[in-house]
Amino acid sequence: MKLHKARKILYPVLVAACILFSLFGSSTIIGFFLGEFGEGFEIMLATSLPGLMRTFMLVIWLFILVIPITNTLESTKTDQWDILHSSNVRSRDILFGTYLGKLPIYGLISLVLSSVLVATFVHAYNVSILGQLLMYTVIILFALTTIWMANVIATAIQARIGQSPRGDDISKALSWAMVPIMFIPSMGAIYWSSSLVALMGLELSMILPSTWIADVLTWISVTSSSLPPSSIVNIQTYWFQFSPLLNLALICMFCVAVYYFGFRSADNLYTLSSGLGAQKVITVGSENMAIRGVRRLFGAKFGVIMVTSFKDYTRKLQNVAKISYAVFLSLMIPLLLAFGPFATIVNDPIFIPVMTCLSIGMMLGIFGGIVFGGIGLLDSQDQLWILKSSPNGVSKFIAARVLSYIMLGIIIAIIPGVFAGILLQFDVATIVITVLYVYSIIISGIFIGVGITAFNPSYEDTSSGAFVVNTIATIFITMIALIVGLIPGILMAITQGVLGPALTIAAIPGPIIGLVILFAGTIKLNISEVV
Amino acid sequence: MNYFRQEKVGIMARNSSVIRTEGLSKSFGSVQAVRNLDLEVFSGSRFGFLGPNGAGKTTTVRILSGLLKQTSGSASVCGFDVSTQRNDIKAITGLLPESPGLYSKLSAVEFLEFIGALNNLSGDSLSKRIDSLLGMLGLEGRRNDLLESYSSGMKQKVLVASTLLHEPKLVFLDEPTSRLDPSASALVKDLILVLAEETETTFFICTHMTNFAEDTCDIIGIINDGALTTLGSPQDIIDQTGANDLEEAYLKIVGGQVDREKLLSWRQ
Repeated sequence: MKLHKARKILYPVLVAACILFSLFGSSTIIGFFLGEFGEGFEIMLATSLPGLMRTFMLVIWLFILVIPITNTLESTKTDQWDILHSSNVRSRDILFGTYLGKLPIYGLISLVLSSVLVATFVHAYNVSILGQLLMYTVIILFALTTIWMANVIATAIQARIGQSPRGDDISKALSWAMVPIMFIPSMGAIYWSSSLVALMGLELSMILPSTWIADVLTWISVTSSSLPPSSIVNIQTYWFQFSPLLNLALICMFCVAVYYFGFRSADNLYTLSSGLGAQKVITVGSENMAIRGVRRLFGAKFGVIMVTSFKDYTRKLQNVAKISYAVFLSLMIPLLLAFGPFATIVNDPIFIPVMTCLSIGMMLGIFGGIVFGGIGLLDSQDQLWILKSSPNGVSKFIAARVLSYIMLGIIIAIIPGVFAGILLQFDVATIVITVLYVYSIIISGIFIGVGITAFNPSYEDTSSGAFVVNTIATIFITMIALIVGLIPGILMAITQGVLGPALTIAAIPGPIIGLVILFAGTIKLNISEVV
Repeated sequence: MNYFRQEKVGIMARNSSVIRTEGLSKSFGSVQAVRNLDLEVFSGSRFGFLGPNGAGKTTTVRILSGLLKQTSGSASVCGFDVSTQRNDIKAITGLLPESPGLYSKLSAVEFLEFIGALNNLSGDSLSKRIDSLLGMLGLEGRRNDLLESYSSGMKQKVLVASTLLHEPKLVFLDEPTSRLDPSASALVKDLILVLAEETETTFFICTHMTNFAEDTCDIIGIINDGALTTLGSPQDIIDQTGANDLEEAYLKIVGGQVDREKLLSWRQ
């Protein structure tokens, strides 16, 4: 609230700080780090920078495109459109207004990110001030176009989904799926493009606007640099499939087309009817074996609360998307270990299993806390009302939630654990140890996340202060719980050289710390007054 | 303990006190939501609690149903102290909150099973009760559809069913008909009347709808700015104020009648 009141001073200060960082800070920092690698590296950098820049530019372009879309999908609010459309406002003005609203923050993010790119060029080619200004101008114009494109895409998706409880769920699920959906094919294209060069006569990435902009930036930087003319010609000959002027023309055409079609489609965008099944009426069928088993296992009364918890959590697409995202990221870790910088020591019998356990455990522990606690516990204050108005309702509910999360956690621990074991060729005992250690950290994360959220409920409002505080607290405490367990575990591993007992010792403190927080949170939620 | 509770509730004769408050007050910081409330509600009665927005109706209900602690004063509900015996109160009362907090990914049957389990009900008797309530409220055709596809009126009906599911002796209803169409409102009104008459269930109804209160309630309390200003039967209140109906009486007590000239003054 205080920050909101001071926004007229804070925002200009933030803008000034970003401009200063872009002009002086990033070039100093990048220059310092790149200079540390020596002259040989700098020559290699100057030669390969145009190629590297295409990849960097693609990542930055996708980032600027995806983040506004995911943020918009996080809170679909199409009911405001009815208010605007019922007034004398044109659709294109609404679209342009929402675009302008996004510029202050995403514009600054673009400026800071682009400064890293420009600083690298400045260091490699000694680009003149005029050249730097030209580069910033091109990047900012391209970023503005990309933000407009993100705005149009987000509006189209929102219109297709519409505002309904199911639409909101689909929208949130999409916001989590957006990053892998856009990044994986793009990075795959880059990875495979080198082998397609021979087949197609030019790189696949040449069809991407990010490549055109990267090449234009390279062209501006080398022509306004202190490089000798022969070097400039060499760089252009080696790297540029298209002439710089053609790249510039392509960018201009791309920008004009994006704005033109965005404005032209405004009327259609806002009148798109829901088509992603948001209005579909879902009828539940008979219960599957697993649900019937849970019902039987936990008895007639508590079994119903457990089953309700399962159904409520797993029927939400957004929860399935979040869990899939966490599992997807945890599968990346063994891949990195197998094919990344550690690949050369992949046969080490202690280092690789320990690294695998730690990295997967750390990632899933934090995800467990956020996915199960922060945004999966209570939908609204009204739900808390229902629980509080029955005897011991809160305690029964939390117990059922935690038990159902613990059961779901088994699958989340087994998939990456077994995948890592097979990929990294662990023996069966090591696979079991890995899965158990990862599972213990997931349980710690669940206890900590649920406990903290019970202490300070944030409901489904991911933009609330409570959610931010809970997320930071969950990450922080999960990390501390992990470290507290690791110290005796590592000491045992070093002194006795045994993996299993060491990881067992390391696995114990986390759930105990989590359990204390869980109990404290449940008591607080029980006695707290709902206003 | 359960036996004692049952017996205690069971022996409460008609016209014995179900709710009794003495000097009940609640403050939120500098805001005094309820001031020195002295109230007595009798078994089998239908008590209507009327008042403008922010008058303290919902806060009173939350204190009486064991969800909020009073700042001062005392209250007992069905013989149980609201400060120390909250779980006992929750076990024999039902609460229909003002805004629905349904689980959107559950069907009506699943949601009612969940509420039943929270109130220690299970088995065939619960299933039969759910079927009967859904049938009576006209939801039998949608019983297995997820609640996310329900209209707000249908959700309100599910909440009414969930409030009555465990046969509470005292039912707190906060704006029970605000989202219902006229026929559903009439159904809820009849349900209240028949339950009160046949089973001695007591109803404590917060509402803005004076017509509904006049038709349904035998005792009306009007609260304004946290204090109880009027108490009596609807006819007594109408007679006391010299009004034609309860709405006119309410406006005379609470204020809010605005002359025609003032209604157009905003255009200048």
